[in-house]
Amino acid sequence: MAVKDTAVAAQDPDPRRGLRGVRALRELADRLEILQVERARDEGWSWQEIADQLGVSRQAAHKKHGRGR
Amino acid sequence: MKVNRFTSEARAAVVHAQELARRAGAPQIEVVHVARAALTTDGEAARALGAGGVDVDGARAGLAARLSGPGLDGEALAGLGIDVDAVRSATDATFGEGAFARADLIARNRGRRGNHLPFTAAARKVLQLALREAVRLGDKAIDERHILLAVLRSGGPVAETLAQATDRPSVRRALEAGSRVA
Repeated sequence: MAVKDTAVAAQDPDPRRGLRGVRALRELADRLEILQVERARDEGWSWQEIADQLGVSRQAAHKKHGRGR
Repeated sequence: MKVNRFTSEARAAVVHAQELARRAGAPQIEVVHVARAALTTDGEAARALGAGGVDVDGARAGLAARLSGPGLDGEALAGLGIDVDAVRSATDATFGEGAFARADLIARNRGRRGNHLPFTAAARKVLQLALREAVRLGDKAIDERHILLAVLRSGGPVAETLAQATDRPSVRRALEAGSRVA
């Protein structure tokens, strides 16, 4: 249901509302990503394995979540 | 009368303001951070306001509501059918109590380097006005009362929030009581 609503909002004809929704989703996803990556690292996952799951490059994953982020 | 120093408490309040700003993920130290820090529990300002019968807790709560910073956009997410509170409790259930808030803080502080945040122009102005308040009241040093008086004098939304706890003149009177020229 949430997914359907999201699809509707993504088609919101008002860019202001549409973009705000997109940003809110990205920021929420960011928070969840932080926790999931943390746990994966704690469980011994390599950056490559994490990157594969996230669909990004190993460098991108490491740059975003590695030390000194 | 020469006023050329902040009391150690006022200095501590400025440091505290920076900490509040950082914790809220704000890019700069804003007037609201300075005001909230000046209202610290056992500070001069809180004492003076309390003695003057002003609702200090109410004022604090009002400021705290403005402190939340650029967090998640719960309203936009609700519009997308996502209940942030539900996500938060599900996340905390999996990752431990407070995990979601911790991730939020990490995300907000990303890309920030160093410990020093700049003051906004308005916040800098408040600190300058605090000096003027101390001179006006004939006090030797700037304490938290002068900082709060400066916030009130500077106008703006934080002054409004502060004044909402009671009427502005009585906040002012309470803060000025105890000074020689009050």
